[in-house]
Amino acid sequence: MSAVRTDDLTVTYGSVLALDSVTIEIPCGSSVAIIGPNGCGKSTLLKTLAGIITPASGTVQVDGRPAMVLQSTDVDRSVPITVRDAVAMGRYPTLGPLRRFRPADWATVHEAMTRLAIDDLANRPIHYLSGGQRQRVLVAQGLTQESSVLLLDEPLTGLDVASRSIILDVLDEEKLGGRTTVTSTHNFQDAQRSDLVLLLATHLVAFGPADEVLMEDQLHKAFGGHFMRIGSTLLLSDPHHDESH
Amino acid sequence: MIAISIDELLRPYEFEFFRNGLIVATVAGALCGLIGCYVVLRSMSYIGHGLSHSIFGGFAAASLLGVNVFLGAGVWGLATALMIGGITRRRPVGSDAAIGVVTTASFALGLALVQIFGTTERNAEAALFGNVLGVSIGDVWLILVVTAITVLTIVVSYRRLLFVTFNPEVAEISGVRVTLTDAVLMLLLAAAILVTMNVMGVTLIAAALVVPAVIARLLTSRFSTMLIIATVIGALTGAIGMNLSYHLDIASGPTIVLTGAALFILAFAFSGVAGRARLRGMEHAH
Repeated sequence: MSAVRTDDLTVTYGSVLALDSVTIEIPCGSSVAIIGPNGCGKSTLLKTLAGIITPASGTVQVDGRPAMVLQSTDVDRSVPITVRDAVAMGRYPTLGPLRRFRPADWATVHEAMTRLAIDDLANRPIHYLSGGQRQRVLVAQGLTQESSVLLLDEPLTGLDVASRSIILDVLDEEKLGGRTTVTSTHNFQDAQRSDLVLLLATHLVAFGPADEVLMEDQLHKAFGGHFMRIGSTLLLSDPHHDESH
Repeated sequence: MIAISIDELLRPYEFEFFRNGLIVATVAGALCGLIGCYVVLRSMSYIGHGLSHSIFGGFAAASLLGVNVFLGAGVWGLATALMIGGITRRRPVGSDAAIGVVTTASFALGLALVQIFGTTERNAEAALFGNVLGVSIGDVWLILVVTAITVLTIVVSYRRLLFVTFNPEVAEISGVRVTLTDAVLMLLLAAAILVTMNVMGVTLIAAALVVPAVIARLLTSRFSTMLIIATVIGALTGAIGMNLSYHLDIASGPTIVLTGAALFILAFAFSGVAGRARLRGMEHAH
């Protein structure tokens, strides 16, 4: 059974082609990494799966309403809310505008905070947090939605070692728990941890297990010359992306 | 001596126009303080400033046509608010530039119409700078109704508005109709400006929207508390400003704004390092 399915999916921004005829099928409970150069359509694909971008043509099917985790730089730090408030927002879709939080809702919120190691920061305003801590808050917010599909837009980019490790562990646990995760990344090593890798360059270059997709001939099609192999390690040499991998 | 001073202080309360003006200024301050929290946190201050100027065009046109000014300026404000909302979403040009063109042109049109034809119903100077003499019992009822609708809408939409303010994309994915929520906020803002116009003046309303919210942000890191503090500060600012307006014989708009500015200086001075850190959070957020 598939958690996500797209058929001939094409997205345009005005006259600019952002996604070109992408057809994929993601099995339930699998972890998928989307990788490709800047501007290849990673975020566009995630947002189309999330339902906030309408495709120019083609179809999208997702198992239930997905939860989305954006980069911490995409949220408004000026809003005066605590870590607990921000994580609890994940329950809003379930509770609607007026229904009160039940003990079970708070238990879900506290479990997510504990798993992301932010429970000791529960009462701290979010503008006092580091980038890594804020990213963990957003992942916790995504978990509390209890959606069967979790979409994450570069959740590990630019994070400190501790936050990276905590988020990666949580994503592994989610996979074991049967949740489907789709994560965009610029990091080959992170992509290799996933069950499936989707190599994107506006069109679909390759989709399958990491050892079949992350091959040099495929990477050349997506990245041109902007990657290198040192021993068994693949390194991205993307002039528009300053993170070393 | 003290008795004379108190008599002097209470003298304006003998006049119905002052009592009406005081009620409207206090409620208007509270209303602007409440809406202003969303205006400030969503970086809509310039929209608020522009919209208030724009509504003056509707005021002048309605006055010229002999239509009820609230109706005319209301329809004008509604159209401008939705136009600004559309421009902000679609960004065909820089949104600041687009807002500047639409609202300044509307303001200029209002000035031109007033200069050529004059006004029949209301004093243009009162609309520009605020004047307690322009307030009637009808204005009192109008602002009470608008405030009640606004409070009810914010209570019912509290979670939606907070989610959209914090993270609009995730809110939309979670089922919040962001465009509709934004449109409702713009309509509330237009209505608040409209009913506040007489005491504050369109040129000064932006301060009533921004100052109480900024003071509240200095004092708290909780959103619900910020809404309450901004509402109370706004009400206090309106009430104190109105009294000062009478005793100093200055238009109500400037005295209300200067009262707000004085409260801001006090809050800034006494909120300490934590308050300044909260404001820095706002500065880096956008």
